[in-house]
Amino acid sequence: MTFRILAVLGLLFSYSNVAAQVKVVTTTSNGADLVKQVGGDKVDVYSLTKGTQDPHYVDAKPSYIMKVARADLLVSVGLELEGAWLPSVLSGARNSSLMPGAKGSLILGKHISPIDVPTKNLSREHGDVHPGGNPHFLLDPIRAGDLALVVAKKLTELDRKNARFYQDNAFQFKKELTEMSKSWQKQVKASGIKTVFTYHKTLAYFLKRMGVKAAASIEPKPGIPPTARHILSLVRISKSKNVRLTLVESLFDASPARKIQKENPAMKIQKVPVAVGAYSNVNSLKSLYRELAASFSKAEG
Amino acid sequence: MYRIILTAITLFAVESAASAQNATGLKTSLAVDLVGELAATKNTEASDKLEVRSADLLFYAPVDHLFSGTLAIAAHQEDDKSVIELHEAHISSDKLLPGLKVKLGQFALGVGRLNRFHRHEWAFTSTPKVQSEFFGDEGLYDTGLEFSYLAPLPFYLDITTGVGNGFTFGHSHDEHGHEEEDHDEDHDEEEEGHDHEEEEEHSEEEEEAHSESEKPRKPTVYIHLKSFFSAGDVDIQPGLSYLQRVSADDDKTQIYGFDLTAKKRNGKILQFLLQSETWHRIVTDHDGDRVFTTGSYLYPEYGFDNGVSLGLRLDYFTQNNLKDDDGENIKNHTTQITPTLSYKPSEFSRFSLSFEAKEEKLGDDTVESSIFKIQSTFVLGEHPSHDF
Repeated sequence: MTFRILAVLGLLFSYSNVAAQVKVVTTTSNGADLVKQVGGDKVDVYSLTKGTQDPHYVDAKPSYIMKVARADLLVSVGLELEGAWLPSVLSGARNSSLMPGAKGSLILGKHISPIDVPTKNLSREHGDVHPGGNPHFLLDPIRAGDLALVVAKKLTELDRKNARFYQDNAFQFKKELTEMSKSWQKQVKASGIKTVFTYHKTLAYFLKRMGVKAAASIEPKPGIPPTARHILSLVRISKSKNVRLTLVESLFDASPARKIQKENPAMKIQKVPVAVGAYSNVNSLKSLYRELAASFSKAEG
Repeated sequence: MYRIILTAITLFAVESAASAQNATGLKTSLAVDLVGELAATKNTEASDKLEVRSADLLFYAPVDHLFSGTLAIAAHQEDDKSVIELHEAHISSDKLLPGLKVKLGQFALGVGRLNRFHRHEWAFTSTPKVQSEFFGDEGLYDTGLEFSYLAPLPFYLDITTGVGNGFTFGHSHDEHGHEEEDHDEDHDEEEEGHDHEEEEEHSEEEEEAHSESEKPRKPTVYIHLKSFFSAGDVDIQPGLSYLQRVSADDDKTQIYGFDLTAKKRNGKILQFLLQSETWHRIVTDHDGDRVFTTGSYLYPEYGFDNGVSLGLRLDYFTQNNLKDDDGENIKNHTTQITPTLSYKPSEFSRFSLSFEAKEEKLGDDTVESSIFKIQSTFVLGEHPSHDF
């Protein structure tokens, strides 16, 4: 009898514990890990897109609408990354507390200083350019650390009783990333690779933090597939600027890079993850950064 | 005068939109739909020319902290003249109650699949036969009130219900009219009784679509239920519709529908699309005579990695209870096979080439016709994010 009562109480307790969790929906798996690092077991986090998906191009699925309708907090990247689908999801969810500007909305892009902000007049002629700047800032470990504090502040607004918990986790995460960044920078520097190609500008923040230059992108313009003419120009650049490595983000096709390599065999190709969950061994932001830094060592190994 | 006023509003809006965008959130979009037709055989209704089928101008913005407003104006070619008309003008809110969306004004009724999307967003070059016959080439528009509710269930269930004035039913232009004429010419004698009924019905609908007509006995009421589930990498959305209206002449129209959309996406590429709608209409006239009509289309499309896609639309349409003078059933149907090759460089432009092979059968008579169509659609300015 006593056992049964305890079991029921245990169930009730566990239920109330789950019920007390802040329900957070993020648009990307990188954002989801950021929130998990800060929120720990006080939050129930769900990422709308998987690490294997390109968050620029997804459908506004009703399953996303369901998740957003029941969430307490929506953490999005912003800088127009989700512009093609998130407004429809939000509209379909009919959850006014998550609309931009509302208490349950956190747009990370509003809390960072972006790079690649266009300085000239933009049009669609320039491809899928983000007028607000490059939205792939979560690939910078230092910016991710800063954003952990922003997430902690937002979670505190929604769940004041765990304010200290969120704040401590955020500071710890930021501290760890700052320290680890130094070793990743050393690792990249030791590879001797100073200039790379990437497929898209996904890695711009990471490369800048690691002191590596991106000589060009395999895409001639953001979101536009490479042409034969562009590949030929990349072959010339790879030779003139001694580009020894092309990092092809896991979302993209490596065959254009192989065409360049055929003309310049000295250039190595590494297929790299850019989101948590892209590969089975990349299950957190830390492991993502570690894998990216390791790709330089592997290229030289 | 009405058209002149609308044109003036359009020009004014375009002029002022640019400067107003930052301050008010006003966004504008212009979608152009170019279509060219070429007869591949005799007996076709091809225009043998390239023309701007429509140019849709869309304005949308938050009105205040609770409501948003939408205004859509469309320019069409009609009898070689450009006609400008109001398609949508509504105020809506998804912030009033959790799970609820309310829309008030003139809009495309939220039934089926195609009716909820502008024609330039459709995956194919022409209107499916059943859509054209039941709702008109551009879909069913009316002025009224619509509620949409996301049910608090463990699975996705969106319930949309609304009421429209019912003064207008269908929305069509010359193309629809031509189709009807051809249809009647093809099957002139054997379906006399039916044809007159149908002809009267359609001409009535078309007249109503162009101008305010008699007050209906009962307004248009409708409901659409849609759900969603995933099977592996394929996302599937089924839906059920019901619509009813009683005209001023006491003719009752009831339409039942089933729609299905399935998609598999890989990044930018929509690798697989399956879209289908099946509709069944019962028209009961004031004497109690009933005409049953059923139509369906099925459109699978495969997308290649380079923005090229290949689709095949199959259309079927029949009157279920068409009888001759002796009361014997007359076999009748219209079928159409439409392979379509499309190239979509981005989400803002599309080029398509299709071949429509149609067979119209009535009793022992069969009429075959085929048309080549080319289409180009493009969008300037902002465009609202797409629903699934």
